[in-house]
Amino acid sequence: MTLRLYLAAATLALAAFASAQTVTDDLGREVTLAAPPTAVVSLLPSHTETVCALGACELLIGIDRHSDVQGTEGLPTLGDPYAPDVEAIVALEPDLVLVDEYSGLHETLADLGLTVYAGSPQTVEETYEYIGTIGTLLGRGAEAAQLVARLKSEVAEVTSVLEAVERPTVFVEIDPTPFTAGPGSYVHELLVAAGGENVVPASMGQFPQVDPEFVVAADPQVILLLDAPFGVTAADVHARPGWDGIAAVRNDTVIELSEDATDALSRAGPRLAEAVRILAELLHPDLF
Amino acid sequence: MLPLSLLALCAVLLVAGAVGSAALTPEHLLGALVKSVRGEDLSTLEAIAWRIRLPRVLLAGLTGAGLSLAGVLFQGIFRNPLADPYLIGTASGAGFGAVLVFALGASFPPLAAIGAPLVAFVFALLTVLLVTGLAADLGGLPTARLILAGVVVGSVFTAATSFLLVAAREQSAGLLSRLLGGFGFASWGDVAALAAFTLPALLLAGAFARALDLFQLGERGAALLGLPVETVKVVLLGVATLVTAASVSVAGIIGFVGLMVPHSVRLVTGPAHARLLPVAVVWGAGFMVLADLLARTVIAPVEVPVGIVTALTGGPFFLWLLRRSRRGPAAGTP
Amino acid sequence: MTLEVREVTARYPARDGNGHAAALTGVTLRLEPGEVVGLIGPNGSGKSTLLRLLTRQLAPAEGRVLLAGRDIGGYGRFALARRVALVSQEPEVPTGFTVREAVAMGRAPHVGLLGSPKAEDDSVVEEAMRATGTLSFAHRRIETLSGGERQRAVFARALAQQPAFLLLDEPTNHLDLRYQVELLTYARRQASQGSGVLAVLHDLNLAARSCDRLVMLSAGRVVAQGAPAAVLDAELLSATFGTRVEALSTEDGPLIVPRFG
Repeated sequence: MTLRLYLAAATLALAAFASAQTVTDDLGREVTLAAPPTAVVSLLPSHTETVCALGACELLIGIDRHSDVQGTEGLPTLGDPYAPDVEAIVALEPDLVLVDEYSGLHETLADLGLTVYAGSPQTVEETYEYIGTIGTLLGRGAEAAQLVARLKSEVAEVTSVLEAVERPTVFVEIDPTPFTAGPGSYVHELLVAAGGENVVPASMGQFPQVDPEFVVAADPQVILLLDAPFGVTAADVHARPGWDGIAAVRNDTVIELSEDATDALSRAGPRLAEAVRILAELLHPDLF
Repeated sequence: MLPLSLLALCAVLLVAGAVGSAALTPEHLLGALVKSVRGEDLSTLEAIAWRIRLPRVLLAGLTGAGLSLAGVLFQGIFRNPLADPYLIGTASGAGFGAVLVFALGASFPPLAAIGAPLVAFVFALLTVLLVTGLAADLGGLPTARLILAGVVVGSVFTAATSFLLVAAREQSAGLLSRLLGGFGFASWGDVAALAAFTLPALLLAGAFARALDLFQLGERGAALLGLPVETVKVVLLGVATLVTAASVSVAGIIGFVGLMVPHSVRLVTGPAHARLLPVAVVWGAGFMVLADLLARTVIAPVEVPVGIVTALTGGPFFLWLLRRSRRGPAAGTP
Repeated sequence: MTLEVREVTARYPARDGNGHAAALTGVTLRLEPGEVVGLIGPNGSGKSTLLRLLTRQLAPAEGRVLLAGRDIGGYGRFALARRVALVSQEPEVPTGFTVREAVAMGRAPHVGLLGSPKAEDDSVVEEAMRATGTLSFAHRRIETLSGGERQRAVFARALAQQPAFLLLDEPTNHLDLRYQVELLTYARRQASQGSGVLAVLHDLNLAARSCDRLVMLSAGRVVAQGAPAAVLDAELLSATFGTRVEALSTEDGPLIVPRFG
């Protein structure tokens, strides 16, 4: 009798132990969940998209104001990813909160007794890892592995077509000051996968503010306006002093990206393959 | 002092014209001029020299000259060597105007069509009118009331600007860097517009140099010598405001130049405005060109906002001022 | 050419529009070229107000202020400053300027708003500085001067205006005795060269000895006018200043001595 009890207890403990998960987030913190979560708050669109892509949309009880995944329409919005309504979050009693590591929220929320995962991928490799990590946390490891495999194959489809194709030089404008995205940033890696060559060298950093002379001297064949949703138009770019000699301006390949495209390009997550395809279509319209 | 300063300014202009993320030579400039006249296409470096570098350097020089001039005028009228051109609200008004365009531009296309520079300029003038309206007393403009009104109105506009920045965060692309100031996309149109304000202002201020000297006797002392004090005040404050508003609308809010340059030059030339004005204007131009040169070369081709460069020179400047004033009552101006 | 006030009543504007009690009531006073007139009286008796009327810093509520027979309001700013100069009690110091530059500012009414000084202006400045003994430190910065030196420089500036009328507002305050005498001697000399001088003085004995005639104000009214010996009457003084004094006769005028106890 006692032995069976012990065996039952041991099995239960083992089962609990087996479903308990510990991962390390981007801040080096150990995030431990005793069991897969049932009430998740996501404070970053990347997190929301990933959770839903893993088929766990129903676990979400609250999202940030920018998240716009299909299936999350009725959920309470908790504010900005960097300055949300903390009281409302706590009131929802989530067992997991997903935040951006640059938000600074992990301490505040952890102090209030919540389990917080702080992170967001910055590169393509990190995105694959990240999907796996979230999958582990949510107890959807298998779905995560499947998703990653699918994304990798979709990206490979695109890159294989572009193997021997000439790569146009591209200037990615994320702000009209101008600010651009350099090597080491997510957008840059998507660009490379889509068969483009960034005019910005690695020495300039990930998101440098550039001297306009640099862009003119670099003479990119394509200019991608990721700030178009903020009102910057190709006409604005054409009008900049000295820019009318740039190849992209002469050939009218200054492209205003839609808000949806910009989102896909900025939100590292399950839209990775979609983003690569969007860029590939823009850079190589004859092939896609 | 003046001939030497002019020579130094020429040297600075030459260096700034040549040095940058693209290394340029006079040939590029000449080639650009010749080809423009002939209607031919410019090579990349020629385009950079003529359409980007030269307007940028000239705009920086004009802005520095204008802000420095405004600083001399403000310091002369308020009889305070710590007065700066933004004292009566020009910067806060212009900042608000610029943010307004960015925040509401999408909802009100006419506003976006007018453009941030013009709206910023208009708001700068409106702010100063508001400040002078508040400060006016018994037919005059008492300086103490002007300063108070400037502080009050400035705070209100700054708060309103901050509110707009938060409320319209998605539209804030390019906004912060605009507020920090810079000469990034300087065009010949910008240069012409700023010159149209700055050059007449320089001439007018020069004519009033002696009147500014008289101001140092106090407004009562100057009036007793026959100076039409209130009229002179309004004219010179008006000139200073127009130049400042024009600079801010074209180049954003660049601090410290209008304060440091006149103050430093006065220590060298003495307070007589016939000497102080031209030298301060030349030094202001040179300083700004150098600051912009630094801003675009220190980590080229990455750019640092020029307002940060001028602010970083502000700290050591005030430290030096403090140390000067400590050495005893005989040394230096209080 | 005279500078005069006729039956003036003057008030200061009050914030609530009700006005204050009159600072001067029914005052008549004439200043002629060539004389030194001393203006005496206790604090608040209206001496500064009278100076303000004479320099057009204040308009009379009643009565008239006349310069050479014309209403003073009819003169242009520079025209007035060419005729009337004021040496203020505590003038603002134009820091950083040399003494010569500060004195040269007195030529402003002649040079005008947008004009430049000519050789004649420079020689007037030189003469004004010579007359006040300030040439020896002409090149020094004005804020480095002692009290006495600075007052002489301010006096020189007033002289540079070449005014017909020189108004001195307590010019001897804070000065050593030597400089008090010096300054009043300059004033005398100006009068002998044709200017009319009006000096507000606190020291009754200095006033007695440096002025041709005295005007005594009390509570905004003229209570006595005339030769020092006549005005400096012990009883009148005691009543006006609210303290007992004795007037002793000496060979160069009355000597006023306050009584204690």
